[in-house]
Amino acid sequence: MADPAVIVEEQDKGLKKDLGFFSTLIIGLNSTAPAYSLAAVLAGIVVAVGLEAPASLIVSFIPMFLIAASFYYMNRADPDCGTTFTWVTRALGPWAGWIAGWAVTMTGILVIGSLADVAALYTYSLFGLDGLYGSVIAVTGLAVLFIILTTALCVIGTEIAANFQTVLSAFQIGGLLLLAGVGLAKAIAGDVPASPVEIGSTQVSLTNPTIELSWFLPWEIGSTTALTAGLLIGVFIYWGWESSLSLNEENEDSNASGRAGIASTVLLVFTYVLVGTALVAYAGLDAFAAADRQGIESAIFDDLATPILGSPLDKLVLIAVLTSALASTQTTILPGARTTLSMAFHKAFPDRFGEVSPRYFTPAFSTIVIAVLAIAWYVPLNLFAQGSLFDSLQALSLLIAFYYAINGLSCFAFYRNEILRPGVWIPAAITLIAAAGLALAVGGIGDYYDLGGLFNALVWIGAGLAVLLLVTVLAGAQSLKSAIFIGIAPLAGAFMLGFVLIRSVLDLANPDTSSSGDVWLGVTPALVMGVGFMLVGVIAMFIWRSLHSKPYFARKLETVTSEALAKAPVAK
Amino acid sequence: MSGTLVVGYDGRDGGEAALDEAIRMGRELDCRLVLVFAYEPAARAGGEVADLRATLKEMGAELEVSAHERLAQAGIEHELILIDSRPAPGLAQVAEERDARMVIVGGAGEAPLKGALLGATPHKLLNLTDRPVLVVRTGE
Repeated sequence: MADPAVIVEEQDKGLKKDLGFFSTLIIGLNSTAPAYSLAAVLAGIVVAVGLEAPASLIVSFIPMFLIAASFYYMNRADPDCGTTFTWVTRALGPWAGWIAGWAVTMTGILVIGSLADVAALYTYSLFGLDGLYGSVIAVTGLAVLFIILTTALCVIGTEIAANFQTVLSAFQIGGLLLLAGVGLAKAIAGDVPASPVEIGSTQVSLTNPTIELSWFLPWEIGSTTALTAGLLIGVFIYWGWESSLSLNEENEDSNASGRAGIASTVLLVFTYVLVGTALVAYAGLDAFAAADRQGIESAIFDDLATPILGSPLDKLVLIAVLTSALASTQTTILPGARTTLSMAFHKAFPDRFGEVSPRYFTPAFSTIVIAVLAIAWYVPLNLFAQGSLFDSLQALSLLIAFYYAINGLSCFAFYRNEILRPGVWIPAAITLIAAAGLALAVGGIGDYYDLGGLFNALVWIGAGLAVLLLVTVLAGAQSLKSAIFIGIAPLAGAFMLGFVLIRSVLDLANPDTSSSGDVWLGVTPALVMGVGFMLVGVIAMFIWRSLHSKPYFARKLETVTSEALAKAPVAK
Repeated sequence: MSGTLVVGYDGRDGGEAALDEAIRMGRELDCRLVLVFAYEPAARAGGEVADLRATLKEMGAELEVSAHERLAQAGIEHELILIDSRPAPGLAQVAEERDARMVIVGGAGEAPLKGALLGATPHKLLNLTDRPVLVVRTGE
C-alpha cells in the first residue's frame, strides 16, 4: 500500500466566496417551493381556519423563524457539524439523534408522493387533458413517472444550473404575485363571475366576501383547534426556508446571507398572505371547501386562475406550480438520503446506506430506497384512500414540527456554556422547563378540555417565555445577543412547535377533524400516519440498538468546542 | 522538467482515459502531473452535507493512492490533490496555482443532453480557465 501522506489536501483559498445576497435569496425561495406549497395546502388551511387564513399564514412563520435561528447559529459556529441528525446526536445524545434522523428521512417518504401528485394534476391541466385529470390511475401513473425521473436526477447528482434556478424562482414568485395582484383587484372591484365556477368536478358559486381587518389578526381565529391546525400546516409551507441560512460560509462576514434570509422571509410571508387574502376574498369559503372535500386541494389554484387571469395568462400559474413541485423534489429527497448516509457513517444505520456511488458520487442507494418507499406509500394511498394526500401533509407537518423542536432544544443544549456563565444554566434550565411545562399544561391541555378561552395557550406560553428571558438574562447571560439568538429564540421556537405538536395530536385524535373525512382506527388518518411512522422508527431504533450498541449508542453528550467558537464567535 | 499538467481524476472511465493520456503526454513533454479529485457534493443545500463530503473525500483518497501506484511504476513525477470544491472550479484553481501548461479531463460519461442542460465539467472548465483544456473521450 502506498503512503497516503503523498496526498495534498488543498484548502481552497478564497475560492468558495460567500454566496452573496442574490444566490442565497434564490436558494431560500427554491428550497421552500412557495408555489407548490401554497397550492397544495391553501384549501386545507382555509377550511381549518376560515376567513382568518391570512392571519394563520402570518403567525405560523414565528416558530419557524425562531427555529431557523438555531440552524443558522449552529452552522455558523461549527460549519462542518452537519444538520439535525448530527447536531441532535451531539447535543442531546444518540437516542434523540437517531429518532430525529428517522423523522427527517420519513418526511421525504411522506411528501414525495404529494409533490408528484400535484405535478401530475397540473400537467394534465396545463395541456387541457380533462379526461386524464379526472382519472386517478392516470394521475397516479404520471406521478410515479415524475418520482422516478426526479429521483434519477438526484442520483445523477446534478444541481440544476444556477441560472435556471433563478428563472424558476422568478416564475414562482412572479406567478403567485400576478395571481394575487389581479385576484385582489377583481375581488375588491367585485369583478367575480356570477355563474358558478367549476372547482374540481363540482360547480361552486363564488361569494366574494369583503376583506376585513380581522382576517389578519390571529386572535380573531375562532378556536385554538383552528389556530393549531393552521400552525401545523404553516410548518409545511415554510419548511426548507432555513436551508438558505444554513449554507456554510467561508467568510466571517455573514451580512449577505443574513440580509438574504431577511429578504426571502419578507418576500415569502408577503406573498403567502397576499395570495391567501386575494383568493379568499375572490372566491369565498365554499370554493375551498369544495376542493378540500374532493381531496384535490391543489385544484383551487388551477380553477381560480382561469376566471382571475383568463387564458392564456392562467397557464403561467400552472407552470409556476408545476415547475415548483418538480424542482423541490431535490430539496425533499436530498435531506432524507443524506441523513441516512450520515446515520450509516456514524454506525447508526446499515452500512449499505453509507455507500456513495462511484459513478455519480451521490448516495445512490439511500436515494433509491427512499424513492421506492415513497412510491410504495403513495400509490396505494392514492388509489385506495383517495383524498388522503392532505392527511399525509398533516402527518408530514407533525414530523417536521417534531424534528425542528428537537433541533431547537439541541441548539440550546449545545451552546449552554456560551449562553450562560458556568454553573448558572442548570437552575436556569430547570426554571425554564418548569415555566414552559406550566404553559403547555395549562394552555394546551386546559384549553382542550374547554377550561379556558382561545388566549390561554398563547398567554401562558408568553408568560413562560417572559420568565425564561428574565431568568436567563438575570441569572448570568454571557452576552445579551447570544442569550437571545442561541438561547431564547431556539428554545421559544421549540416550545411553540412542541405546543403545536401536542395540541395537534390531541386534536387529530378526534375523527371529526379529519380533513378527508376518513377515519382510521378511530382517529384521523394524519395521526395514524404521523404516529405510525414514528413508532416504526422507535421499533427500528431498539432493534438497531440491540444489534449494534457500539459505537453509536455509546456516544457521549458534547457541547460546542472552543476551537469552533474561536473560528466564529457566536456574538461579537 | 518543462512544466506541469493538471489532470482531473475521478476513477471513472473518463478519468482513467484522461490519466492514460496525461501519462503519455507527461513523458513526451517531460512534464510532471498533478492529479486532482474534487469532493464537494453537488447540491449544497440539502441537509447533512458534512458526512457526505467526508465519504467522498475518503473515496478520492483511495482512488488517488491507486493512481499513485501506477504513476510511481511508470516513473512519472506527480502530486496528488484533494480539493474541497466542485470539479470545474477546483481544476481551474489548481491549474492557476501550479501554473499548468494544460488541464486534462475526461469527456465521456457526460451525456449530451445532460451536458447541455446541467453543464458538464469540460464545458464549465472552458469558461473558468484561460489555460488550454484537453478533453479525452473514452473508446466508443
